[in-house]
Amino acid sequence: MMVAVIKNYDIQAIKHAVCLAEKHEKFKINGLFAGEIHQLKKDAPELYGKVNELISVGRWNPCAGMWSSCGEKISEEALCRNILYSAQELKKEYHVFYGVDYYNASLAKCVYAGRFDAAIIEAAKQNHWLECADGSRVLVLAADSFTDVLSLNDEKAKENEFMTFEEYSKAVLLSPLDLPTVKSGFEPKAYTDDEKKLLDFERAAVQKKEDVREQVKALWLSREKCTADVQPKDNVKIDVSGVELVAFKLAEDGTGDTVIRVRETDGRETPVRLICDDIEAAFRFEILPYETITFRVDAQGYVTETFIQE
Amino acid sequence: MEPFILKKHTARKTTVMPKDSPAVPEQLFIQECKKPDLDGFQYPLPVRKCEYTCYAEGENGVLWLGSTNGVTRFDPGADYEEDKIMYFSARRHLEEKKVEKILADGDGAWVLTGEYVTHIEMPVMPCEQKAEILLDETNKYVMRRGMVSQKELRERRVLESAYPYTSSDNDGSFTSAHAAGEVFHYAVYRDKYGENHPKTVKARADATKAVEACLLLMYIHGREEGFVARSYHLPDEPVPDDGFFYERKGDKAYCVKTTASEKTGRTGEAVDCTHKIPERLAKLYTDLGYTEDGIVYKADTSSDEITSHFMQMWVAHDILGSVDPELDDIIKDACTRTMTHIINCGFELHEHNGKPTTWAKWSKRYFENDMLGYVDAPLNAAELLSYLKVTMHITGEKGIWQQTYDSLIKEGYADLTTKHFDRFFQGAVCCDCAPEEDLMYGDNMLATLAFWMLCSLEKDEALLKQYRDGYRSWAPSLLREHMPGYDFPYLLSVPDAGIDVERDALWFYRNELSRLCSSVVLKRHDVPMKKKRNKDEDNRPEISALLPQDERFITKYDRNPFNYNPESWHPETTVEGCYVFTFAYWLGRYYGIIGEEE
Repeated sequence: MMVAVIKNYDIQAIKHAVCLAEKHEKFKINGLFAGEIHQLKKDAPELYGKVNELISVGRWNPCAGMWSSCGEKISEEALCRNILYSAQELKKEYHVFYGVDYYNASLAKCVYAGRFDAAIIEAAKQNHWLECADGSRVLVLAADSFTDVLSLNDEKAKENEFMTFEEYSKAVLLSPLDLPTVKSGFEPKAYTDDEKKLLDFERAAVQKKEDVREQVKALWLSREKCTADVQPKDNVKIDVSGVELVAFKLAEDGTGDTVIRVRETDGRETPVRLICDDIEAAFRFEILPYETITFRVDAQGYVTETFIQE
Repeated sequence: MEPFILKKHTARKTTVMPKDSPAVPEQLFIQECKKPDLDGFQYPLPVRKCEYTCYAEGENGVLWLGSTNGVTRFDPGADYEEDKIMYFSARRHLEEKKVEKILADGDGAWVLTGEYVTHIEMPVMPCEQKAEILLDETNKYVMRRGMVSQKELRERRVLESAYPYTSSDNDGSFTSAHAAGEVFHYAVYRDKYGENHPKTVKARADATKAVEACLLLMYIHGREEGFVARSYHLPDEPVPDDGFFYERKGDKAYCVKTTASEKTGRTGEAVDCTHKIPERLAKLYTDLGYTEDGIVYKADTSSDEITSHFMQMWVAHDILGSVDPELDDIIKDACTRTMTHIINCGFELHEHNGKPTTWAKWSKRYFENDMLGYVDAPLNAAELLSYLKVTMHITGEKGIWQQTYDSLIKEGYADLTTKHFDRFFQGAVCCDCAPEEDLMYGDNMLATLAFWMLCSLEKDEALLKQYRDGYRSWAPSLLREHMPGYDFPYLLSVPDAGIDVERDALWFYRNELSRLCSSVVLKRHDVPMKKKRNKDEDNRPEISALLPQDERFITKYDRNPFNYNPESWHPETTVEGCYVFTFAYWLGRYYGIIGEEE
């Protein structure tokens, strides 16, 4: 069984993959991040249509989770936003995260909170469990056994069986595993100073009942600095000192619900009370050491603990 | 360790009555109904602020708030933050949701909801008194011939209407925990009051009866080769259509017709039952005028039962053995026969036909055969090793027990005990769900018992380290429940366990005074619902906060305490046994983890 991949955003490689898929009905291909698919729509609409069709029938597994193939270190909140905006673009739910690198110590936490079961990481040298400081864990799969689609011809495409990332991950999970666990430590800050400005801008907009979702998304994905210098009202009261507010935003689905993300930083399991009178939210919850939790508050103040993709 | 001293604490006592009951004060009906001003109220409330419709001021600044969905009590002076807001909901504490009037009365309140009134009282009492109240309820209404699981009621809320019989898959498991709790209870009173004090004498009688009931399950089947029954029924008790049952007639027992027995072609099959039941144990039914003939026992016993039995035998031997040598001899015999059966059957529990029961397998062929065995292996390996340690401890013998133990260690059983977390996580993910959604919650109790026994009895440092590592691999699922019945054995077994005994104290403080099951409101404004990871729509989502015991559904040790079920769970026609409280409480007292104010 082979896992065929498109290694880079390369129109020729994409065309080759589509061609193989059209000729050989059992052929499956993996590759392209959400941002690359978004770009393909502009660069080659017809080709995009074919890729999209293959995605919809499960024969093309995009690289879910990250917006692009950037391998730089990024913050925990930037990782969350990648997962969120990638999910928006891909629209379909995937169980396997694909990344170039580990990005930061919160990878396992974010991947798990993004509802992924496994992560394929190009930088991984072997399969292993990755465990975050809050106890979240994910199965990390190395990518070195994957086959570049450009090395496949018609004959190879015909005579081999192919798997998607999802199928590959499932096959690994169904076998007896005796893997080492790598502990990734604690990321002290959820965001950079520049990202804090963007988070403040976003929060202030919610308080002023302004919808800045598209603007915020563009800034996160382009990694440009937010030039607005706003101080939102301190409208969220948290009764314990080791739990910080990370994000306060509108839900991406346009319902008007508010999304609140909090993070434990002292390394203590603790019961917490959070009150935000502006949105009639007053609730309590348990948070584990170093855990990050995303909540969604509806118009009547009822709260759901949810995933990153909100 | 210094014990954490439990203080006297408010309990809640609610009495529901028709509104025309003479006990209801007239003042309640003429009370003016004023909406409370909750602007700026700084605590999360279980109901939306706009849905509070009336209030009454109680003693010491306490505020009683009535709403469209229950009563909230606000006590700004409460010692614990968790006690400042208390919620009373339908139908645990109120007959109906909508509160029409509320009248403060001393430390309590009268609440009018439709055609019924609830009188809420808040007596202050020590936890020891609570344990006695709960035991008393269990002895009167739940226990049958020493066994405690649960009972159904003919009439809602009327404990006196309890049916004299019940059915259970796990009489052994639940009664074992109850028995161990009562043995500890006896030991605490013995040390405090002396062997001959009336309290000690009663405690010893309760403990002995529970232990005898457990042991009877290890003999009631009459099989020569050793076996353990899940449960048994007297001839005039109905047999449920749920599994495999055998009716004793003379020196044979015949498989009773059920859906399961028909499906497997086992109806009518005969099993020898020639092994004599010790007379002392048989008295549990002979004193009621019955003989073995016509008794129906339940087979296809699982590892839950076996693990729990070994635990209660260990505890009973250590504490009752020296004062009751006859009982101790029966314990030794039961232990030896069961262990011999397991070894002779290749580390499985076998039915008479040589086939393993569905869930009592500790063999490599089970562990290596399929995904379920692969995931179960760490726990089951720990269980089997613990049975051998207990057998050596109780019998004082090594011989075949030690040889078997050593051989299992060589085969990697001790190594297996450390692999739970990885394998369980892997198994859950394969089923497309989060571990906490997939967990068989009864396994938490089994892991607790198995590792507690192993860590208590193993003296080899290297093996002990492995067992502690194995126990730690269960910590994420065990400790999130903040249940003293799990926390205390863990504290005794794992150094630097990091258990918050003060939080466990709250668990005792906030337990109800009755184990009558009824629905509670879980769709609350102050507690998030947790979106489930499990793609299986049948599985219930969770809530994000652990509710106090008196605000969540009443259950045994085998349910997820975070389960979210919007409205109903039980229709007030089931009463559970008290062991969930009493096992934890008396174990904590016995080992000096908790104490009571003098």
